[in-house]
Amino acid sequence: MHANDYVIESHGLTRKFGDFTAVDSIDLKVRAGEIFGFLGPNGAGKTTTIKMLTTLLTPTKGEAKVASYNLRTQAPLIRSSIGIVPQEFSLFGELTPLENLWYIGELYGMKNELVRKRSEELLRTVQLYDKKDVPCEGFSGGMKQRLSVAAGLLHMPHILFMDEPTTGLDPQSRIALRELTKKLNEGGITIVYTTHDMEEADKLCDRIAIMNLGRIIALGTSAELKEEYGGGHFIEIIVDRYDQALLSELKRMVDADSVEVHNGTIMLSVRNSAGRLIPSVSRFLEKKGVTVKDLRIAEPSLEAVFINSTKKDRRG
Amino acid sequence: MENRDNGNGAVERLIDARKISAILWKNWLVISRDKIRLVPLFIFPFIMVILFGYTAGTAPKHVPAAIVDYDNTPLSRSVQMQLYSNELFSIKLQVGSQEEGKKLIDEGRIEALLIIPSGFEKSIQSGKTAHLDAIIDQTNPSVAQITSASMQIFVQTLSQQLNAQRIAVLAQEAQQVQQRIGQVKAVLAVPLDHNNQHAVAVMDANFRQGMYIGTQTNGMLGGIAQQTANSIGYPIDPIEVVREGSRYEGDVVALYLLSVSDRQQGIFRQVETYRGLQGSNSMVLASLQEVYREAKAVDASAEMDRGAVRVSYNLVDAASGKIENLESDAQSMAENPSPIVLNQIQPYGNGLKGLDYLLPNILALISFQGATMGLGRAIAGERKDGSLTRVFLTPTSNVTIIIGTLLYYVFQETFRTMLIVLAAIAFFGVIVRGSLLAILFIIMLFALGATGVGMVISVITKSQDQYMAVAMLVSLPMLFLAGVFAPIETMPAPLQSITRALPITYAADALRGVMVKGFALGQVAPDLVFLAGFGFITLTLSLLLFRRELI
Repeated sequence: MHANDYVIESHGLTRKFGDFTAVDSIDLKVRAGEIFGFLGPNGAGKTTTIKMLTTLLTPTKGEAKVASYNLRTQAPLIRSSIGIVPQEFSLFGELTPLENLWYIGELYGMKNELVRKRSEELLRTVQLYDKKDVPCEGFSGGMKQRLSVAAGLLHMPHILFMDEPTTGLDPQSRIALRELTKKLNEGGITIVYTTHDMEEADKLCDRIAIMNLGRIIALGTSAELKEEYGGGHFIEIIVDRYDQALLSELKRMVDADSVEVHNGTIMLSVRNSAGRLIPSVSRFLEKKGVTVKDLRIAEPSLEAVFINSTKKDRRG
Repeated sequence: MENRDNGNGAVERLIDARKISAILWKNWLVISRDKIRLVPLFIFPFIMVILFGYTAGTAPKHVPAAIVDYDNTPLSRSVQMQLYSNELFSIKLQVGSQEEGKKLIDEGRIEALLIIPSGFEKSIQSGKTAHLDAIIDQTNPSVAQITSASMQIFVQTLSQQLNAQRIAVLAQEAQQVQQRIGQVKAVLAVPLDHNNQHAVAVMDANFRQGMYIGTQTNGMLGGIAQQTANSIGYPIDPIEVVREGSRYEGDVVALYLLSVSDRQQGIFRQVETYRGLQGSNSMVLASLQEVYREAKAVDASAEMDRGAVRVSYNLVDAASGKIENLESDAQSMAENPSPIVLNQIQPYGNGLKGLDYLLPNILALISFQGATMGLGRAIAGERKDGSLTRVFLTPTSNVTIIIGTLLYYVFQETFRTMLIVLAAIAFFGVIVRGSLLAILFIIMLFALGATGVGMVISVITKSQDQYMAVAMLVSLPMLFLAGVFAPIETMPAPLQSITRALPITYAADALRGVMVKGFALGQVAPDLVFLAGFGFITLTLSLLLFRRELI
């Protein structure tokens, strides 16, 4: 792959706060045009990483290039090439969306007509055009985040950093914001997205870096991660009745690693080719006179990936 | 490397006027939309003026008091009269001793005992410092404090009066000295009136004439002598003749020699006479030159004497001028002794008049308070609520951020403080003698330093709560050190010296100069230099301490 296809490259990026190492020697490469996700629990170092990459925090050690500019020596150039949707609402509640965007435009030194044109365009995109002259204090969380996205995009950046943008939003707003993110990405913007929501990362991101205790412990596409860390597939069965003998026989039959029952669902953990086993399981249950209400294969969840990868990390 | 220009025109400059004005306008928009913040911000100045306008000058009256007069002299009695006649004290009793008075205080019948110690008049008359004593009931601290301040001012006024008397005496003495100096001047002026110039000129002319004539005579005499000498052919040496003649017959030669010699001898005698005359004439000339030199020397020394007299005259003249000034100063001081009346005894002035005097301190205090308490939102608050994130993400330099933010608050504080000035003029008829523009300038300069203090705090704290905690530390002591609630003169000495080093004191001083004394800016330049230095230091500190990081 050509070097210029990476819009972010970091080597040994580290940030300490006193004795505490918040981010510990991170190496990563983000490709142009992808949605790159940082997944991890609170305190894993996602936000600190984002702050370093967006020039808001100076690294203690390590180097990085963002939009081909050196993080340490070309911060102003990086700032004009990137946009950010921060974790908290970072605009002025007393000001209207148009005024907020005007102020940001002034601070970027953009031409007035360009700011006006972009503001109207963006407010339409984020569906806030109707509210453009209303002070945004009274906006809902979703509206505020959408305005934040518009603010982050005003100066036409190549890369948009979104730091847990859906945290605290209601489901509809989450979905709307996710849709918006996808649309922007399709328009050619590289997106760096942090979340602690597995499902969101799974649905949205092209590649995911799982962070824990300041380090990237796994990196790849969702499928790659599940393959490596998912710990196999599950066969889930819901039947009208079962007993311990039945469960033992089932386990032996499919050579399962474990058999558990959650809320009436029998879960058989198998390493691979679960689909192949479905017909024989079905026949076996029929023979036993058990009525099968539901029989399906469950993919490994990112949750499992996360749990397994962190376990592995601790062991390593 | 590929061209990464977004076409958004983003550039970072150290000082960007456009971005500074955007920050100014943004801050105004934010505050103008926040009515709950806005209203108190601009109502506060009016409340302050109204409060001070009506409360300044409510010194207690008729504090029950008694007098002990250990001195019992005409002067002590006149002091008593003054104590009786002012409204601050209501003299209930004249007691015989301090102990008696103390008992009255203990019984709660009086709150102050005024003591004129013995030797009071004597010390004053001998030019020493005299003192009045007072025992003040400390059970009511506010009355005690105010009474004590009043007493101090009473004593000050009394001293002024006594000084005025002394000065009047001085003025009289000065007048006498002035007269004597006048006499000296008259005596000194006489030799200056005539000089030897004319005489010297005549002497010069005469000398030249004499020299000319003498030289001519000399030449003539010389000429005649030579001609006469020549008239006998060559001059004959008689000895030579005798020697030559000896070769001839003795008698003949001798006769010839004699006849020639006789004639020659006559002429020789004539020549000798002429030569003698020429010699005498030369001597006369030499003497004449001598006399002339002497005369010149005499004239030169006379000139030196005149110079000395002239210097003395000038000195005396200058001294006389100074004494004249002194005399008129002393006279004018003596003509305006401050009579001791109640109005001047009040520590906080007399009603509205007090506001005139207090206003500069109030202005300095309010602008300092507003500036130090008001910048919580500026950097610390925006850091906390995240809006600083946006600013940090743009190519806007730290200097631009700080200057833009600072300027907004400088304008806001200046405007607020000017509102107080205008309100005081409009509602309380305060007379401002200097120009309003000069006041505006001083307030602005001071607001720069004061907001700078706020900025330093805002830059080092991480939230508005932290800001307030630190700002209180700086701001609250100023309430007491600003000289608004208690006159600086009544503070203990160490506090006074601290107060004199505070920018707020310099601001109040400059404002008082312009407002009360009608000074121009040039006359308060030292204050302004101090305030400018204060602004520069706080601005530099805020820039140095400002961290472009979000943790």
